Amino acid sequence: MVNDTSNTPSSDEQNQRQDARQNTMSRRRFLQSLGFMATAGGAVALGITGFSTPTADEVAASAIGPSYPEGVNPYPYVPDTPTEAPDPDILRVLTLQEALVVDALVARILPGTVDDPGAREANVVVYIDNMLAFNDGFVEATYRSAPFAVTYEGDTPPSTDRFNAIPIAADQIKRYGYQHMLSPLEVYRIGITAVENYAQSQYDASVVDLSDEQQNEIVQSLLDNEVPGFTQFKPEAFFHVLRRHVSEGMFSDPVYGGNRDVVGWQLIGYPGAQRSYDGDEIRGDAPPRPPQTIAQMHHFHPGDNANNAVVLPVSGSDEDNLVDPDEHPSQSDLEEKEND
Amino acid sequence: MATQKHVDVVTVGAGWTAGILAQQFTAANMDVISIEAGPQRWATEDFEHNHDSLRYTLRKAMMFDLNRETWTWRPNPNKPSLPIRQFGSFHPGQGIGGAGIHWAAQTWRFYPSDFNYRTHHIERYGEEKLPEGNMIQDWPLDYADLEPYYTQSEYDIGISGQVGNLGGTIIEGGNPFEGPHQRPYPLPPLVRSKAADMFSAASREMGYHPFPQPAAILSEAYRDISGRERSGCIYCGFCTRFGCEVDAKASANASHIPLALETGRYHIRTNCKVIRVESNKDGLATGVTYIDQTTGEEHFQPADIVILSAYTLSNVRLLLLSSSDSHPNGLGNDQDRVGKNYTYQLIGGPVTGLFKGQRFNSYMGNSCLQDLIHDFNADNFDHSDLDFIGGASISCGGGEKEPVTSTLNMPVFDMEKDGSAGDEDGDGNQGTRPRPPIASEVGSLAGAGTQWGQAWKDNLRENWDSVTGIGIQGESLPYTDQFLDLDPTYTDNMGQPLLRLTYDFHDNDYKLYRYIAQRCKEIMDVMNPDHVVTTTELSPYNVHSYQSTHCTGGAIMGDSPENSVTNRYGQVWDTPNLFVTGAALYPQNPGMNPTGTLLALAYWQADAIKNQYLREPNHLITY
Repeated sequence: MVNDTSNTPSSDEQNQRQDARQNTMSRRRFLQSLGFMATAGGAVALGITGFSTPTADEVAASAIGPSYPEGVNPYPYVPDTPTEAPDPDILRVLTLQEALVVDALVARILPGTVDDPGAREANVVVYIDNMLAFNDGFVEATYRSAPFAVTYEGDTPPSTDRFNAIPIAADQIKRYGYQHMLSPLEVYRIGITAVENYAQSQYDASVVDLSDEQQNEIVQSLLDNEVPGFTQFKPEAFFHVLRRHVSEGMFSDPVYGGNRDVVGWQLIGYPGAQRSYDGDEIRGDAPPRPPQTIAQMHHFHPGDNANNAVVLPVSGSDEDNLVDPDEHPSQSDLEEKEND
Repeated sequence: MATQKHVDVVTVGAGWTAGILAQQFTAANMDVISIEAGPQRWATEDFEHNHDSLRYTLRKAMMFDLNRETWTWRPNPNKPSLPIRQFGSFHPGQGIGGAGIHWAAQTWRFYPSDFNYRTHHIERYGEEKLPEGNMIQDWPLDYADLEPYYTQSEYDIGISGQVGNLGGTIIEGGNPFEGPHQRPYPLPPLVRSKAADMFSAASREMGYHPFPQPAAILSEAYRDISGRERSGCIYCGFCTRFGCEVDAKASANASHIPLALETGRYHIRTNCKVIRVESNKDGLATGVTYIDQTTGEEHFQPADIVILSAYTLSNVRLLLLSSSDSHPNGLGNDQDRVGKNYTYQLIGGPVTGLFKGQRFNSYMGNSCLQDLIHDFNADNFDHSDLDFIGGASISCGGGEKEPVTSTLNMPVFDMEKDGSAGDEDGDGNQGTRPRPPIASEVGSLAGAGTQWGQAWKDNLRENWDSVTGIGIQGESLPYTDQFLDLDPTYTDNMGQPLLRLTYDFHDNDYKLYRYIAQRCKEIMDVMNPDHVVTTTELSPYNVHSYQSTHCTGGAIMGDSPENSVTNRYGQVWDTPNLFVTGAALYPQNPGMNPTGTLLALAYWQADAIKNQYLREPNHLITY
């Protein structure tokens, strides 16, 4: 069905979609609805040779992650590298119907087949669902305080009594980067709804049920800003968000849920998380090494570390270093003294 | 508020310059404390499994926590400012080692003419050649003053490269335009990439002078100032925006900070954020107030000497936030000079070539595998008949290509045209494209580029590792409508105002780019790609796209309190026991990465404090 261009879903599929709307369908059936033939072990036969995603046990045994003091994440505002790939049988934040719409779109943005995998076969939708499940999709540190920007057309800012908003010329807003009060999850929900309504108006069907060609027309309409229903951002913005997340889901480490069986890395000839290369290889013409994931990297011990045998810094203030207030004047005492 | 025990020196931040000063001061039996906003992290155990480009390159795990504090930006004083809500233009770091952990390690000496920039240009071209509204100044020191300290830092941390001027003798294969080096670099250059080879051959054929990138990455094992032998580079491909798991990339963590800690006289308080420098009625600094971010408690750390050694923008912001009865407009700002001379860097990739069937192995190694020419940098070429001043370095062949962003930004070639024809509009370019469009108002949620479908997939499959570009790094000049101040609207999580950047490209930048882009195009043509795309015009500045973390100026050094915030030793004119380190001191920014010079300056400042300031504390150092 991956290559199915038919626009008339079977009654089974229609039943599945009905289930989807009620969000009661299992992930296994979700995968089947995307056209995968799941094997008994849960692995998916894609005809990719030479590599298999490590099992959870293998991942755990290789002990990914830094050796900070137990319980300490030095960069808590950015999610740590997962220790194992998410269960593709569980949708964490998208409804099944939402996931199917996203999958239909990303499968057109980077198309594939079982023999030549694309975004669908790489499980990009699993990547997106897991990304959106963290902090509504704010996976990088984001300043989120008001006031936010409102855009205006023309040369003169409108005299507005709108509360606490900063007017910016519409053709200048792009220079300021991300300025939306919407979360990435909200951007997805607005985009999915608009695309679904557009598909219904154009084809009287869900985008999920359309042919590849019809879906392509919808993607192009997004890019051309011709899909109505986007009031808070332009249709092309939703295209760019999808395209960016196709790249992230296709070419980031499989532990994030996409790039299944490293099909993305194999597509471009990227060997993944290697420990080292040497000069001959850099300057040579050998084909790329087989890809390796972070989980497959081994520990190594190049020698003593810089911090051996030194007093390590104290996180936070050092209680032992405090001035005893009974023996030492306080800062305000000092200032009073100076003023005397 | 609890008061910590008094120390000789307190530094804000524990990055490159704080590490150098701590090592220099503790060796002279001074007690030093650094207050560091971020966590501690050390090479192998913390970086050995960080080959995760999603977390480090895209989600910027090692950078500032923008949830708590960011900066605002506006293009000019007549436009409103908005906060930089997600990372774009630049990437300051936090944690021990600062941005000196995730830096690219391209390490330069500035040119002699960079230090007397104003005088040099007026003597050669006349004052009318300087752009309108400029605030260009000479540095209050010259290349010869700094040369011994360049040499010291190069040997203390281990620089790989090929010297081009050894004591006045031009050395084949190095940069012939550079100022004289007392000694060659301690290590030979890193491996040269295939693309760098092609670039070098083409530019040499054209009469230019290609040379390898000087790098603070060890090409061989090296025993640095710490006495410890560090590993040579293992070319893993995860360098810029990552920590080095073998310490081959120099950082204060690898060299100076362990040395200082070993003396027992140096301490670092991590996860502690300085919110003010305190000053007394005599106008002197008394210490710093900081928040212990693990408990929320406020502390005062008294010290004889306070050193602002955080990131450029943080140093400037702290000066402005630290107003007092004796300094009502902020420290160093008695003459309203703080924030002036903010400059940046002109970064671009004007031309990209597709070499069908070639694999460049661009994902290996680091950014320093490149070769460069400086034939069009600084005033190394005659500007008499040109409509701009200044120049840019031109480079090709850096590695560490990262799969997510590079697939998003894959150039789209017009396969109907080949590399030597197709000049349809008569502008000398074929396949001209605009800079990748900034996607949309959802900003950094999106990437650049619009190609999709089977065409995108085929382009990625066939060409991903067969493209190479020529990049430029141009100088940035100061202007009256370009500065830093406190934002009137937005605050950080402590309720203190954010720093506001007022910055845009100026006429000189557009002209410089236009000229340099054509030189890049000519070199690429000689490299003979199958297809080429050229970006002929500079687009206005935006804070959305990463360009460089080379934010400079704002607390510049000069020869008088009327034209600067500090003297030639980074000593604040109106608060003599307060010093500023780093690139905030630069009056304008040359066409090279700023770090090499701020390392040398830190040594220069340490010497001045130890040998001159301490003889008469709390007074300005006399020349």
